[in-house]
Amino acid sequence: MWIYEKKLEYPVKVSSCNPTLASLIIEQFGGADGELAAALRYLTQVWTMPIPQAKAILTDIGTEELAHWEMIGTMVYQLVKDLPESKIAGTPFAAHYANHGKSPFPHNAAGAPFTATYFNSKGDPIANIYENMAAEQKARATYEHLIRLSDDPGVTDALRFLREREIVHFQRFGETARLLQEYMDSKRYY
Amino acid sequence: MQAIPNPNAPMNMANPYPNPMAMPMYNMPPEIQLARAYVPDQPYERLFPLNEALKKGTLFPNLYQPYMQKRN
Ligand SMILES: [Fe+2]
Repeated sequence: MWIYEKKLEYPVKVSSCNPTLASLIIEQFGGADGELAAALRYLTQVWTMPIPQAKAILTDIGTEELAHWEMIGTMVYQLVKDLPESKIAGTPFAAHYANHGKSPFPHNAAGAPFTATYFNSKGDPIANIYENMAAEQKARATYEHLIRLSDDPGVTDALRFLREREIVHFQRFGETARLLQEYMDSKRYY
Repeated sequence: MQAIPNPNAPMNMANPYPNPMAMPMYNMPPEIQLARAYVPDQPYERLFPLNEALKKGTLFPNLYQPYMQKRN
């Protein structure tokens, strides 16, 4: 069960109407290392985690990733909402607009639609937690690419916040990996 | 210099976690094994003030690793 708060985790103040930037940051809305993939990866892995600390951290971080997905969708929309329809053709946002109008939709910056093949749940706690640590590094790297691409100070500010969260998540998964390894060692006998 | 909240102070806005010193302070496990990845446990040191923590994306100075953009 979830409790929902009617505000963003971090305030988003987009400074410009910027369809080019919208079509780039949508990578984190529906891309392989984006927030939706992260949320579904962690929330899906909860059931087979053998210790309560691992279930808790996956639920916490998976929930936070949904809040990040909400932030990215908000930024994508804010970057295009005031764009006059006559000015859309010829921008990198035009292909998105042809299908979805101004609604955010989970696909990556190249237009490939979101797919569950971006993540896995192996039913193996060690394999899962290492996937999650790698996922946090890939998300951090993507945020650094996007920070370099961004020419909107408000978007850059939010991207920096989201990037730092990936570092915190990596630390938490690393601590969880240790707990899982200790637990698996205590169960192992040949 | 930032104010360093007293970790044993009762829960309030500047110190949202009561008695954090009860957290274990150990670092790496005593026996390191091959073919495993280890991240040291985070020592509980001090906290950013909450308004600053929100801006930075973490409550913990020892986890704050901001991206430094190359100028060119
Ligand atoms: Fe994350």
